[in-house]
Amino acid sequence: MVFFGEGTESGASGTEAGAVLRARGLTKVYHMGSVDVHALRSVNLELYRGEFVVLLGPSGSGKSTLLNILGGLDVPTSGTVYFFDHDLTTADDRELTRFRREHMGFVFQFYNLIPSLTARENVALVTEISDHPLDPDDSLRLVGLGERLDHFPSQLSGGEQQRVPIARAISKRPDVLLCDEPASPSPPPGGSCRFPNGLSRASTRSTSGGDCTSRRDGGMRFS
Amino acid sequence: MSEAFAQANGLDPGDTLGAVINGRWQRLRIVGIALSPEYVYEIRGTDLFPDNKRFGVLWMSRDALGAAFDMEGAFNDVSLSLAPGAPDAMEAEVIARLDRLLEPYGGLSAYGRREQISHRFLSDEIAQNRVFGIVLPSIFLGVAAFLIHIVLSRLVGTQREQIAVLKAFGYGNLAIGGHYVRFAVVAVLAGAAVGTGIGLWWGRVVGELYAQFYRFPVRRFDAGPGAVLLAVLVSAGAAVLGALGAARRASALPPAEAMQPEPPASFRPGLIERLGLTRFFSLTSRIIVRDLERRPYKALVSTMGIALAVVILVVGHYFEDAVRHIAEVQFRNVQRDDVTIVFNDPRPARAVYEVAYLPGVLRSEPFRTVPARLRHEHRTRRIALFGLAPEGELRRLVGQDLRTIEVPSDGMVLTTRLAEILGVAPGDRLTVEVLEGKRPVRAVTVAGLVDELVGLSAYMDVRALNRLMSEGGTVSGSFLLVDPPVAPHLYSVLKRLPAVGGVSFRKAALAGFEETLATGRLSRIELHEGDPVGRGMVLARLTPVPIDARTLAQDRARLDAAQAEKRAADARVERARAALEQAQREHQRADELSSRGLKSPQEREQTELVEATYAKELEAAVFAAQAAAFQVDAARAALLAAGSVTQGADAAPGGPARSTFITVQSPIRGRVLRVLQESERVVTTALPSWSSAILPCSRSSWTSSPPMR
Repeated sequence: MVFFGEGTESGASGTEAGAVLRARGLTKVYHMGSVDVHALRSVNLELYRGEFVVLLGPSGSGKSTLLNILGGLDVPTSGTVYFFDHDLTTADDRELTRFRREHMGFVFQFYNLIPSLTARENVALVTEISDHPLDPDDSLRLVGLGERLDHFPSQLSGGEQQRVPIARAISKRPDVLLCDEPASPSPPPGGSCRFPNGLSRASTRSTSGGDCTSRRDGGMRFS
Repeated sequence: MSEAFAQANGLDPGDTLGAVINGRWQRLRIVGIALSPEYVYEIRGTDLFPDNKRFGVLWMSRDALGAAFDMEGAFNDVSLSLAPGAPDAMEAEVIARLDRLLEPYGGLSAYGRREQISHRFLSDEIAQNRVFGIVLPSIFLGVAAFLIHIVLSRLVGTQREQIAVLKAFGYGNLAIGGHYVRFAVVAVLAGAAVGTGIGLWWGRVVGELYAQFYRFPVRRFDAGPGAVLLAVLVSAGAAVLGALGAARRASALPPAEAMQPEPPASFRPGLIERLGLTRFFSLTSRIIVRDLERRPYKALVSTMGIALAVVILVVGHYFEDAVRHIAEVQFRNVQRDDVTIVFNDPRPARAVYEVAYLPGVLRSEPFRTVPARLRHEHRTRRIALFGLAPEGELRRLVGQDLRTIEVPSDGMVLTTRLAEILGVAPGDRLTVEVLEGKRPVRAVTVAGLVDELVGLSAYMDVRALNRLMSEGGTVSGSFLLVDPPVAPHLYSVLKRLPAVGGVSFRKAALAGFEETLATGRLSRIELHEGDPVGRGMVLARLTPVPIDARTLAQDRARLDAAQAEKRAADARVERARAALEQAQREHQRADELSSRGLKSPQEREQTELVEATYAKELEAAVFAAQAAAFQVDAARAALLAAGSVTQGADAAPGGPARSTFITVQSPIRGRVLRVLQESERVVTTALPSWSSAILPCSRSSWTSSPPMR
């Protein structure tokens, strides 16, 4: 896992107090009928401002589960998660929703675009409920979709569809950006892809980023 | 005259009609057409359906009617209105006192407004509509809610990842749930817009239909914004109810679900596994059974929805079948007479034999009706007590199992419903208070019950009823079996019999009746209400009904006779003319001789008189010849209409002759007010097909033939 950022502010300070996300003894057990599956077993973790972290592991090793819990999408069976000094493990559904709205950005394994909304509208769906969002047009331009603003998902190529969720995630200027295998279904040919630009530029706006991938080679190279 | 009767018979103000009043045939002139709340449903007490052609209400001034009956100032019917705000209990009290007051004068017992026949028919209809108005929409809305539930549940299922993404980005449960409820609301608004339009239109159509059927004076359909709003709200409520389940599912979806595809639905061993029946089911059958078992609630609701849809079908067909069944049982098993006649007053039994000798009557069975109040303990009911002929064939007691019940020689048979109301069972004794004549009060045993389909009735053997009334063989009327071809003739005879107060024709007789009267087939009328018509414009075409060989022969003979008559008349004219000329010459000569003094003035006047007489005779002969010419024309026209005589170029050699239309033309310029008979059908003499037109001056009849005599 890599934390990624400018490193000018509190980044890489190394102190626990400065951690954006801090997990202690995280355990997640799924009850599958009569069998208990331990997806996470006592995970300790700190993520700091400006870091870029890549999480690697084989399929079924609990990467997605960890991201879900860190993102406030799921709650651990035991252990604690702090966002700065807010305890996410004791937060109720409503508080978690607000937490996600105000602080979190996600890029999921599947694009999960609304097919009846254009690229611009898909992004605007998120910026509408954010406090200080980017203009949807700008964020789409950042990922190189400036010419495809009014296209519906069905009118976009696979690669273009892949980039809309990224624009969607960065447009709300989240404090933490969590990406779950963002490029796994169809990795763009190495090197000259434009999404890293988007990511790196978004990251300059002091965002923490987390990426988990099962690719042993570290996924993609960022230019 | 009541509107329905006037319209059914093509009568207008100014026309006259004959009526038997106080046993005398009198001509009445119609001075106006009217409606009365007492007869919104114009029906004879014992009939199932109104027969506007043969039953109507005439209103006359009390003075005129009183004079006709030699009973000036008398009354035989009185209506009272209770003070506004009077409690319901007051009605019973008023009725009781009124009955006591009028009993010495032969009062037949008063009844409340609820029992008034028009009021009852109308309020039953309204009550039935109210039930329909609640039950049918409930079923429809239930099905709609269920469909919305299914559709939205599927939608939530397919959009679960999108839902989860929205949640991940901070959309709350309420926002997500509300989104799906809005789906339903949009459907409701669209449906409400269309439904309101159709509803308003349909309401107007049905309102119009009711106004026509019940002859309401005012035709106004009023659906205020309140009604529309309520309908929309109720529909929206049902839709939201249907959407709630899906909305709840959407909002309960955990956001982490977006991270992975939907896990396979969880299945557990179900009923067939537990019962060890697995091997009896094929793999595809197991899919069906397990799918149903996994969502028992959904399967149940699906079944319910389909069940409700079937309910609509069944209920719709049930009503149709029920009415048909009742009509069939009533006319085939119960009332098997062709004609029922009711005498003005009870008559001695021999009247029945006199009736039996009327033309066309094949069988005559007497009956006796007596108004009576049946009393058992504290329960009473006013009914007409029916005395039937023993072993009668024309009016029978038939239960729902269609088995005939014989009228016992003693005691009374009640309809099951009446027995329930009175709380009696066979073997119990009832008090019968007769409301006619000497008003005897007797105890009668309930001999049996009959579960008739319609009405509340009590039946006795006519002889037992006569005994109860302490009278000899007395009858109120007779059921007749009639030879159909003679029915019209019988009807005209019965109408003029002073003793007969009412005649009602049953279906079988009616069919023959209409057939015999039929004069032509009316082609479909393309005109609509409001269409302008010009003078001489063709309004309708009548194609004469085919005439049988015998009638054809008669018509031919009539033409021959008319032609012979005309020749004779012409000959008479010639003879009269010759005689006149002879007389004129005689007169001239007499004048000359008289002037020379060779003839006396007396003789001269004689010849003058002879000449004048012959002149008159010639005049008469010329008229007679003209009349004979008309006869020939008429006879030829009849044959022409039958299509047997063709003229000139129209003749199709060898083939069947071309039939001729009779066209009905508009006598004036105006506007069609009402089309009474739009579809093609056989019309009879005096059946109006169009109503009046708006004229510059006044109303005028456009009927195709003169009003019924």
